[in-house]
Amino acid sequence: MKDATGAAEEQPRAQALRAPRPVFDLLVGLCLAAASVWFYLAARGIDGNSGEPMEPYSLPVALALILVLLALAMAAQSVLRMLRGHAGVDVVEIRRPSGVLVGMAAVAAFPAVMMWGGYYPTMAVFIPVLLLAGGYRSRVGMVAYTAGFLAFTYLVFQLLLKTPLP
Amino acid sequence: MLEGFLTALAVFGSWQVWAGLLAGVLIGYFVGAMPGLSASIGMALLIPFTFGMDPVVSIVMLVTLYMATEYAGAIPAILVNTPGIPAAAMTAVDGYPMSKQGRAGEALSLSILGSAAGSVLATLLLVLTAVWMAQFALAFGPAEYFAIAVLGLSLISTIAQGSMLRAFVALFLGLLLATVGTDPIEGVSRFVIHPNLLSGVSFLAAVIGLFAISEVFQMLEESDGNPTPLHSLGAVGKQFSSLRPHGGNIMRSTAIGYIIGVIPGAGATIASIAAYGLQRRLSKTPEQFGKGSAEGVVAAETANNAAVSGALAPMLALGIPGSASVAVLIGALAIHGLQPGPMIFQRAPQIPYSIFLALLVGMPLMVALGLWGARLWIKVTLIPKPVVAAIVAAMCLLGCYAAENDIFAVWTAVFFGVVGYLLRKADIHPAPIVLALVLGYLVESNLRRALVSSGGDMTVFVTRPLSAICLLVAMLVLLLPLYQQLKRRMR
Repeated sequence: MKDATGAAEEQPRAQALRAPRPVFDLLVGLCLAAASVWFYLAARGIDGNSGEPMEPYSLPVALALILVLLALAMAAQSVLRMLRGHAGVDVVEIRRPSGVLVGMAAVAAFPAVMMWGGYYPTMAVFIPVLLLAGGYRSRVGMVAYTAGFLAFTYLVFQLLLKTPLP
Repeated sequence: MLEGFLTALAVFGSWQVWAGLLAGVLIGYFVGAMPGLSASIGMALLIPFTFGMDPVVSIVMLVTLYMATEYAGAIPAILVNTPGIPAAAMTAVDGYPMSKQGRAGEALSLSILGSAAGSVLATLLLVLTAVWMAQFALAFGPAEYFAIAVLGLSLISTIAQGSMLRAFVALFLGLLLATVGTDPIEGVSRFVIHPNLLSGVSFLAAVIGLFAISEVFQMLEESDGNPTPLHSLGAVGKQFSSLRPHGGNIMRSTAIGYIIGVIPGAGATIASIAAYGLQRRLSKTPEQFGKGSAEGVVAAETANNAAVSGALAPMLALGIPGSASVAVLIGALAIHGLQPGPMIFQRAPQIPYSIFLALLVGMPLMVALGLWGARLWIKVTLIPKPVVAAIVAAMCLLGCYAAENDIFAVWTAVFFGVVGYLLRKADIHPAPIVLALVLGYLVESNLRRALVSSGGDMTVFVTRPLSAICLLVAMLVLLLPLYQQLKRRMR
C-alpha cells in the first residue's frame, strides 16, 4: 500500500535484527579496546627525543592507555550484566536491516564510484538507490527528486559557487 | 561614540546599504543551512563581488552574512539532525528530538528568537566593551588557554546522556582522534596513515558523519513509520512570549558566548557547548536535556550567535581576528584599503559603527525571515523519511566535497557516519566526541607550550590566577555531578 507521495503506509512491522544489549556492548567495548591498543602501539613508534617536558608521543600514549581501560571497563560491565541474567531482557535492534545495509553500502561506495564515474552519473544512481533502500517506490517521485537535486547542484555549486565537481 | 553612530546612520540612508544588508541575510541563510558551507567560505566567495562596492555596503553585507549563517545552521540541525555549521551541533542535541515530537516549529521559533536576543545583547556588549575585552583576551597565555580548554572538557559531566562511563569513552576517543596529524609543537607526524591526515581529522567531515550520516541510517530504519504529526505553530506574538521563561538562560548564554567569542581561536562551537552545559547544570529539569529540552536549544543558539559579536571585538580593537570568518572580514577590509584596529575609530568611524548598526538592524530582518520561514521549513518533517534520508545523504556528501575540494573529506564523513551509527546503538552519543575534537588541539598545544615556557614546571597552571580559577571550576564541574550520582546510588 502506498500513499500519494509513494511512501509506504500502514505496513506490517518490518523485520528486525536483534542482539542482546550486553553482547553488543561487549563487542563494541572490545572493538574500542582493540582500536586503542593500535593507537597505543602506533604512538610508541612516534619519533621524539627533543628533551622537551612533553614529547609528541606522550599525550597520545596516555590517552590510548586511558581509552583501553575505559573500553575494557565497558566490556566488563557487559559481562557482569550477562552473568546477572540481563542478556535476554534488553536488546539492540536494527529495524529494516536490509535497507540499512544497502544504504550503508551505497554511502560507503559513493566516494570511490564518484572518483571513477564522475559526480553527476554517480549521484543519479545514488539517490534512487537510497530511496529504494528506504522503501520508497514511486518512480515519478524518484526521477523528480533526483533530477531536482542534480539541477540544484549544477545551478548552485557549479554555476554560482564554481565548485569543480569530478 | 554618538558622533560615530550618527555618521553610520547617515550612511544607512542609502538604498545600497539596505540592499547589501538584505543580500547578506539571504545568502547567510542559504550558506548556514547547507552542510559543508561555513560563514568563512560564504564570505570568501562573496568578496570578489564586493570589489567595486562602497566599503560600507561591502562590510554590511559580509557582517550580516556572518550573523545569518551562525543562525541558519540551526535549521537543518533541528529538522534533520544535520548541523549546517559545526556550531549548530549542540542545537541538534535537543532540537532534533523536539522535531521528532512534532515540536519543530517551537524549536525553530526558539532558536531564531534566542539567536536574536543573543546577537543584540552581545552587540550592545561589543559597543561598550570591545577595547577592554580585547585587551583582557590578549593577557591569556598558554596556561590560561589550557585551563579554559580543560574547563570546556569538564562539561562532559553536564552534556553526557545516560552512562558516564560511555560519555568518557566517547570523550577519550575524540581526544585521541584529535591527536591525529602533525604534532603542534615539533611538527612530528602522528597516526598519519594517509597524507590527507597530516592536517588532522577534518572537523567538519567528522561532525557531518557523526550527526547527519549516522542519522540517515537511523532514518532508513524508521522509514516505514508515518511522519510525526506537527503541533501547530502559534501566532507571532505567542512565539515571542515563548521566550519569556528563558530570560536568565539568555543572559547567561549571551555572556558566555560573548566572552568565549572574544578569545581568539575559541569560537562559536565552544561557546554553544559551554552555554548548553551550564544551562543543564542550572536547569530544574536536567533530565529533559538530550530528549527535547527547549532550554538546551535556547542556550546553544543564544551563545553561538553572541560569539559572533564577541569575535568582532579583537578585530575592531586590536586588528586581530577572533575567528576564521573574522579573518576573512579583515581581508575584505584590507581590499578596500582599511586596516582594522584602534585607529579605525578615528580614521574611518563609519566602518566600525556600520558594523554595530548592521548587527542591530539586520537582526529584525533575520527574525522576520526566520519566523515566517519556520512555517515553511517545518513541512520538511512531513516529507517521507526515505526522501529526507536520500537528500540529506546526498547534500552531506556533496557539502563535504565542496568544503575541501577533496574526496578524502567524503571518506572521512562516511567513516564517522558508520562509526557514529554503531556507537549510537551502544548508547554512546556523538556530542562528547565533538567536544573533544574541538578542544583536543587547544589542550595539547597549550599544555606543551606552557610547559616549555615554564621549563617543565607543572605549577605554572596553579600559580597563574586565571588558570588556577579555571582549573578549580573545571574540577567542581566534573566532580559535582559524579558525587551527586554516587550519593543517589548510596540512598
